[in-house]
Amino acid sequence: MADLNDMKFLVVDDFSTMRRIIRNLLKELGYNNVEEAEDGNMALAKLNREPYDFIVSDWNMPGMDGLQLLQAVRADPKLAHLPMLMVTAEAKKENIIAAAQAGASSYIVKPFTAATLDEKISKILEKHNK
Amino acid sequence: MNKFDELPIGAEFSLFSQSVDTHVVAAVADLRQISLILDEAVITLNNSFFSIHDGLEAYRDSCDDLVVDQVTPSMNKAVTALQFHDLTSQLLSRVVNRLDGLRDIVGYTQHLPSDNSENIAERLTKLDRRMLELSDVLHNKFSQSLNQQHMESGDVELF
Repeated sequence: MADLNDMKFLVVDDFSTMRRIIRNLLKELGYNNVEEAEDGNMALAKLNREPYDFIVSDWNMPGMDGLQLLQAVRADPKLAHLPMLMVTAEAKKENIIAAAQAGASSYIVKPFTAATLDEKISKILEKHNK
Repeated sequence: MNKFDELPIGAEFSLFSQSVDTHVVAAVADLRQISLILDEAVITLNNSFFSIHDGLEAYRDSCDDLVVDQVTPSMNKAVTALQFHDLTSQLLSRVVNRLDGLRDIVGYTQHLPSDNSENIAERLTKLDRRMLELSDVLHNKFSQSLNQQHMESGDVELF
């Protein structure tokens, strides 16, 4: 995986405000290399075109939603290794369990602070690098 | 005896559902307007905050670093708080969808036969059963989980 500051993030959310907020939070944490996608289909197209190091994805999106994106990423041998953090407004237990079973690296509920995002990303990278 | 006593029961329900429908349509229109106003306000706030932030960073060399370092965290907090825009938009959308579903439930009464050929008690029982079924479908459509009230809602430690 790339050096932390060079890590390339893909932020997937149908809400432009949210994409911008997550981009700003990542920048605050020192991650400046961030691309965006509006939904799962666009995200998958980008993932297949160029290399990424980390995916941050919303759950509820039109077209391909976050869970479907997660399943597609884990099913593709070229992408399956990618850490994927699910970010969502819904704290339903069934969703959290579904995310875990589908192979999500972690799960974060909106609204969240930069500190919470930092902690989640750090834990994921720690596990990933072991 | 008033005019409603003269109407077959199906026609009475039809009047009732039309009356409810009018109010629900008006409520949905108001909610959509709230959503538009909220969207515009938050997008403006978002753009403004980021402009201020970018401006501060661009003039960091000529501004006192202390000033920039004091202002930037507050700016970042303000921007992060705009996440509530996403949550409120989803909540408004849920209310609109629930009201639309309610219109379907109440609208069902418009399809009752307008004569008194069936036994009234039997018709009311069928109506009650069908409306309960529609109500259950509507209830199951919506999750109950959007109740975050503070910025520290984010941490979920199930895994």
